[in-house]
Amino acid sequence: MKRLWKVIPPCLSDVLGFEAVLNETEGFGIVDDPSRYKPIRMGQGEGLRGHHGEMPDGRHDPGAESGKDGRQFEIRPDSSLNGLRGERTGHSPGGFDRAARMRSVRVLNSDIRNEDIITGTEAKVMQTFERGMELYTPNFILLCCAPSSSMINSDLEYAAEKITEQSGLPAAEVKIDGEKDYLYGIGATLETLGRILLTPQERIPGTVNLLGANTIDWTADTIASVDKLIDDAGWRVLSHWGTKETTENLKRAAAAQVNVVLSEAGLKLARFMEREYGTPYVAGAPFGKKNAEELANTLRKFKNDGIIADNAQPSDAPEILIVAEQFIANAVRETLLAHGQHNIRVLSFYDMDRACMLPGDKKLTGEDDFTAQANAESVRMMIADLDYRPLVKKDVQYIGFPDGGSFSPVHPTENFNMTGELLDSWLEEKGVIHR
Amino acid sequence: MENKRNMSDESERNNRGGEFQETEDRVNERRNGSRGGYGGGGFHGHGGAPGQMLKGRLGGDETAILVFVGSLNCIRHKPYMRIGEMMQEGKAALLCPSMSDFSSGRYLNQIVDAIVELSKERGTKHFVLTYGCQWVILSTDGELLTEQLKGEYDIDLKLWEDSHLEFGDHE
Repeated sequence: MKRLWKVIPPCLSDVLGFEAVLNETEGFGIVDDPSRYKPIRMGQGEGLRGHHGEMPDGRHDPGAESGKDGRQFEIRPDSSLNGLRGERTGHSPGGFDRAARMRSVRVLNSDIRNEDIITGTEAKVMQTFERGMELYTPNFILLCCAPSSSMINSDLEYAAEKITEQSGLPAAEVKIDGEKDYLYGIGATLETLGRILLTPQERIPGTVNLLGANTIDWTADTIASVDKLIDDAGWRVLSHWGTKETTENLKRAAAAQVNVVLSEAGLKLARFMEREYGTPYVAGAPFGKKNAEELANTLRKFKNDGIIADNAQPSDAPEILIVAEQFIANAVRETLLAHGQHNIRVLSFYDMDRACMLPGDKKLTGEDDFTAQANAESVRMMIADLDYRPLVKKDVQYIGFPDGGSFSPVHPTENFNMTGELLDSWLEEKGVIHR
Repeated sequence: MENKRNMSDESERNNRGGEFQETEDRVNERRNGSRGGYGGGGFHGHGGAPGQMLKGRLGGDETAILVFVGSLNCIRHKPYMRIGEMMQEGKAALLCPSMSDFSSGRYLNQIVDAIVELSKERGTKHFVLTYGCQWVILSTDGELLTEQLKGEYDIDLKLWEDSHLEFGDHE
């Protein structure tokens, strides 16, 4: 049945994607929501006893004493936190500094209640804005709805206008409502950020912006490796959109000669910048030797080539299915193709972009859809999250692959740096390719 | 049904002078993180790990299945951190109707269809339903659903009543 999930654990929502972006910026976010937001992975894989306690605004969490029995929440190792947040925000890698983690949250909820559903949420949103101004020294404010406020069509555009009027700071609503996946939320947030921060700039030759890499799917190692790859190709990174970055760098991003879109979540912003500022873009994750070389080569002799993906046409029946974030899955496909594998399809439960799909690729609509695809007669290998496996009823070679967007993973595959040849090595280790 | 009545009785007992007052036990339970909100006198969650909190909503009924109805964003709270395990054990499922499903009322049919499908597949007649804010905003008549499932399919449905809109942050 559509919309019924019986086996596959849920993923992070679009509002958590909004939070993932805001936490890495010098702005802050307001979610028109009755309940508060905590660090995305709080309590997961860090030996924490709970994800309650002191909130970013100093309020005490009433559930702070939970976990008294000493049990620890050890759901998954979270390399994205151990790496990126640890290194870039000055926390100790390993992330046991809970108070610091709480302070890293740059999203406040408006604390709406039943009566606000009748009278409107505007007053609470404006109170939250004032609270945020006391807590942070923001350069901008983004707002979004939660499912509850979306049901009553809270007018956050008007609230954003009032905030700008009162503070002189750029503010805007991100059009999400808690219904879609985290990748959609990251994409919508980055695009809105671009709309309110970017201004025309004089072009600086030899510079790029990195769009769409995020703290949910990407490790710090990976970001550092991509930066180095760009550097080695003779280009300079002006700004990162999705990971830690200053507002100043974001504002100057229209000066870049090229945008490099690293995940599906960066495409909306890339297209906006192409329309508004004439900034061309290349798209694809530089995972696997072939893709990394291709990105470097495209940048070296840049001619507005557009999509990096190899347009090799798949044949009739898929033999290999890759189920993951679209750009990561595309990179795995390219790597397999480079090593002589063929008939490969990319599937994803998350937001997918048509321009980056090959014939046969599909955005999955639910468990039934996945089950039908995975059990097709021609399929002999799957590269996907291990939590999807119970739905595969036939004998296939199943390679566990990380899914950073899973909210409640049961059999997590630890995320790893796939940049350049590292992906080839991993696939070789798994017996998928032979070199 | 029984659970709902219990809650009403208890609410009445606690509602003094028009102002909601918590009993000392409740305050302690909430402080200890042992309850999912204030709902239900029939079956309690257990404090501690999120998986236990969620399993506690099944009230010790080994045959029962927990069904959550709401948006993805509504399950970001602590009790749901381990819902994946319960799903793979066949003890939980998620129904995520779209906004248009909610606003058109289609979600009510979806809930019945989902529970009947799960009942047939897993051979149980016992379900516990928990929900997000849309359910509350739309003043969903849980009793009607309960009666429909009992009358037409002989399925027992209990509601785990909880709402951040009403009670704010508590778990």
